[in-house]
Amino acid sequence: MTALIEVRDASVRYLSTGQTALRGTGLTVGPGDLTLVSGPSGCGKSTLLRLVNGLIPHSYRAEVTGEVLVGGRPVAGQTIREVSSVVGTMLQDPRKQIVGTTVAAEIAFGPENLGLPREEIRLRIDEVARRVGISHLLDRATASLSGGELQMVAFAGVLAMRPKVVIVDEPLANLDPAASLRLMAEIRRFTDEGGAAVVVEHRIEEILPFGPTEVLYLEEGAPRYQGPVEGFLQVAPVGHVKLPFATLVSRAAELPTVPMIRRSVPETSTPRLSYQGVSLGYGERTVLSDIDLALGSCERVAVLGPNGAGKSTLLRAAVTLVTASRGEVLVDGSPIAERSVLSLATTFGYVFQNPGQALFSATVGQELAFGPRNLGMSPEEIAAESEKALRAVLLDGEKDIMDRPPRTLSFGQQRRLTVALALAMRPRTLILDEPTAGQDLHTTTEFMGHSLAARSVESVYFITHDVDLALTYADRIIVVDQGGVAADASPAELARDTGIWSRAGLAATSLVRAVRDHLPDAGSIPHPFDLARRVSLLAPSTPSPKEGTTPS
Amino acid sequence: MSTDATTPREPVLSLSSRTVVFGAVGAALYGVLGLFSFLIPGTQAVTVRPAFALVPFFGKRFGVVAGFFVGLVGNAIIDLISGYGLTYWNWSVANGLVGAVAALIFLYLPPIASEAVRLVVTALGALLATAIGLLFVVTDLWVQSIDLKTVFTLNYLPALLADGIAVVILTPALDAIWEPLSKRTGR
Amino acid sequence: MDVTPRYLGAGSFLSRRDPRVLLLVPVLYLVAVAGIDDLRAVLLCTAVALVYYRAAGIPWRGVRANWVFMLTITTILVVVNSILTSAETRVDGNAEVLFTAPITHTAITWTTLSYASTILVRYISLAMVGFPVAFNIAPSDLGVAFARLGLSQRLAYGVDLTFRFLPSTWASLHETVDAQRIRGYEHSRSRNPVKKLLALRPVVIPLTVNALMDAEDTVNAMDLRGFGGRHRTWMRELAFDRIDRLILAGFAAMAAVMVTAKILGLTGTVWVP
Ligand SMILES: Nc1ncnc2c1ncn2[C@@H]1O[C@H](COP(=O)(O)OP(=O)(O)OP(=O)(O)O)[C@@H](O)[C@H]1O
Ligand SMILES: Nc1ncnc2c1ncn2[C@@H]1O[C@H](COP(=O)(O)OP(=O)(O)OP(=O)(O)O)[C@@H](O)[C@H]1O
Ligand SMILES: [Mg+2]
Ligand SMILES: [Mg+2]
Repeated sequence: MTALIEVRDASVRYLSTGQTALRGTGLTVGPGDLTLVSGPSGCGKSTLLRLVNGLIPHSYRAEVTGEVLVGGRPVAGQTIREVSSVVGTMLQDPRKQIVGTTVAAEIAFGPENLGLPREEIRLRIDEVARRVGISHLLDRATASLSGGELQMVAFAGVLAMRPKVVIVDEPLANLDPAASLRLMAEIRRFTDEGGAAVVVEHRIEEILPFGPTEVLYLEEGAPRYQGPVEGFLQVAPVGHVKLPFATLVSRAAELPTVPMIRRSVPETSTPRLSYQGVSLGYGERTVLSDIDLALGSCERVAVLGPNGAGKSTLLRAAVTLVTASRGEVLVDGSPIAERSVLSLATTFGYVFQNPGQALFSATVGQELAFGPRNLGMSPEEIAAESEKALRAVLLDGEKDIMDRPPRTLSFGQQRRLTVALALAMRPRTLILDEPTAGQDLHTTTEFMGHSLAARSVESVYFITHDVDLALTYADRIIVVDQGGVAADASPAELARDTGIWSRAGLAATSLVRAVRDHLPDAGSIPHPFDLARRVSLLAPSTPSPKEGTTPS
Repeated sequence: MSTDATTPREPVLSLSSRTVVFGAVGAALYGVLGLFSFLIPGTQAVTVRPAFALVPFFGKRFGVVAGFFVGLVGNAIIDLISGYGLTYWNWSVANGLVGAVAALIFLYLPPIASEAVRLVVTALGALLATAIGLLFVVTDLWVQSIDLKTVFTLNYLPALLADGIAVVILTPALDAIWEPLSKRTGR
Repeated sequence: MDVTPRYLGAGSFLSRRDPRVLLLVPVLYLVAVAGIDDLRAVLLCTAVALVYYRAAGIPWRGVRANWVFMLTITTILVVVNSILTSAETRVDGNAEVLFTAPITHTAITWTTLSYASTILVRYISLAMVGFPVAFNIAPSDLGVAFARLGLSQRLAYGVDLTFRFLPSTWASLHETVDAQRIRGYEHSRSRNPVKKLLALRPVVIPLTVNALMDAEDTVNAMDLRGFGGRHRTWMRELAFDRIDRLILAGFAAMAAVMVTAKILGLTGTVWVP
């Protein structure tokens, strides 16, 4: 049988920057294969996908060497349309690639472009929708779908073109664990039925249970590992890839020491933010009802929950972006309604999920000055605060940073800049909405480390889908589900609460299981590396790394 | 389709997916932001629609077709949403022409190195495009059967004043921010 | 606030028509009434427009505000137009002066009034045939309708795509305003329009730049799904039925008659009772 995709010794140099993004990379994908591609941000994963689906060289100006064959023919000699009949591509953010106003229209888009007869298109829509379980959504407007639903619809849109291979760029970045499982199960089923898939993902642990046939790990544009999963787990760089806990234990000797993150000052008696019988919603629709909750002024709180449960809504109430329809929200003991937006802005530094949302100035310096100027700070104060904020997020080393246009920074740098923007207003509490979605482990560690360690900041509340992140960095975890708070406990307690992991769009990770098995049932938990070291000392009989790959 | 990002990428009237998507994005932006407007104090009829600045911007950056599409469809959508129907269709065409004319003006201007000069030229070019494009509302002469003097005093000049302010202030600002980014998208 | 156009006339006679009919009728109607100065002829056309408008079944409550707005604007326009210029063109010297307008001292005669009414009525009737375009075509039908009227397939899809982007743009606008508000951004209360415009940059710029950056991905996604081929199927099937053809023929006939009348000079003079 001929390979569907055959990349041999390929290199890519983007002409716009003259930068070589991929070097000497090979990839072979045949029917039934599920290939996992991983690597740090900017290592060339998306570039590899563009090479395979024909965007390079057809849409991007780039110089390609080596051989790229799709369906046995060179990509350069086919049009994107021809390639797309073999290779179906799902890009990272479904919000950007969905073009239909309704779900049915979206699925029909590809077949319509192929000029298929209407009857055929209708059959395909029904078949694909049934297959991925979205038949009940067909008439819904795409604008009203949740993140998880959107991802499924985007996938259906790709399948409707009947490709032989699907390539998927970071599909799990914005999905809750349950939705991730569903999507991966669909991809697995596609390969089981004779298709093939190439999945780019940082969240390796969530892919492993689906038995990838091959792992390609890229670093700085070149393959660093290529082969079966077992070997990958042995050699994967520990600080850069989130590995299953069992692997960490078996490789305990290599784990770097992690710096202790400074614990904040002891708790004061008045909570920073408290909800008393609060209901929150938009217009007619109530998203959360009867919330009673108090978040301390020196706590690190993680908020978990399924897509659309109301996590963002809960914390948006802290800065009156949503107002309570019932009950009362108190900030430092006084009703929020009595506080001005500006005084709230100095209490809470709120960092939105999308860093680009607020960047509008011509230079980083002006961007940093905007908030403080609204607060009425003097130019000298502003300069001093900006300096401090940049230092806190480690952007001060960047050359000419103050004069750079903010949007020309890398995505990760933009994220850190938005934290600096919040810090420049001297908040006492930092609120982060999904701060690490779609980032590699190294970036995540750096980012969380800096945010939590920022001077002046007493407490951090963050929303995340990454269970391990919550366990590692929070003192307390709140799970939001079904219009209310489904759980509110310390990480160790939560890990023990077996019931919660099967509900609330969550899935127990290997770290959760490790915490449950090895730690006392209260308090915060050590860094996974420290825990792994401890466990490996307790049980010298090293468990095989394969263990972590079986789903519970 | 692939040419250098800093030079005009495509033939003047090309119609790639880029043109279509950028046109649609621009029209949606104009349609949404165009719902907001304010009166210039002291006048009764001169409403500034800040979003109008998007029209010459899209023309300048994304070409004749995209510019025309943004103005035409964007304005039609504002009218649809606010419920005027398509009665003022000739105004939509005038909006579209502003985008197209802006595209043509900037297409034939040599690249300018100095940032300050570029800002001024962008503002003036966009203003000129507005002045030319809006001339299409003389069709009111025929559509509404009002005469030339009324068209000018009641329609053209107030519109030029209002849109001109928006264009002179916001178009260069948008363009200056997009300048470094347009090179980075690297297509 | 809802940013999708309102679809009000569901189920009515006109909503059941091919959307192309609703797009073509206003064009034909405009050809018919343009340049007619005789009030009687315009009233005749208006009667047809009224029947057409009634068939659209647009509930009055939904469009009351729109009508009020239109009538106000048009009335101002007509009044200014008559007062400013009637003295020059429409008055024969010995017509009976009814009264003189204040301020401009324009003499107002029956001719002036008749002409003003003609403009006003014509305008109202144009609105009547125009409203169904706004309220009786489902937004998702517009793209196909244009494509089948001969517009380029890609541009026609652009129209569909615009409607796809509307709600998400609206949502991003909200998010951007929220993000800036917690940095202390407030709407400018200044009366100075320049200051007001400058104060909008923190919203307009990130919204636009974000939309453009995301659009790069959308372009890729569309290319990858084969967009832009010569032939494209549209899932929505459009076909003129007999009634559609009759309506179009009727309006075409009306346009032809009126144009002929105009050429023959039958409708070119202002009618004075
Ligand atoms: N269109 C482009 N023009 C020029 N350089 C580019 C372009 N796209 C990507 N690059 C550069 O090529 C390198 C690889 O980028 P790529 O997008 O493939 O990384 P990635 O592994 O997908 O990263 P991420 O995990 O952040 O998505 C990066 O250094 C990036 O800056
Ligand atoms: N501005 C808004 N107007 C109307 N409904 C909204 C708005 N923002 C959110 N919602 C709805 O409220 C619900 C909760 O949204 P929220 O953003 O709080 O969820 P979330 O838990 O943060 O989800 P995710 O993990 O996907 O970010 C969702 O069903 C969402 O569709
Ligand atoms: Mg990528
Ligand atoms: Mg959220």
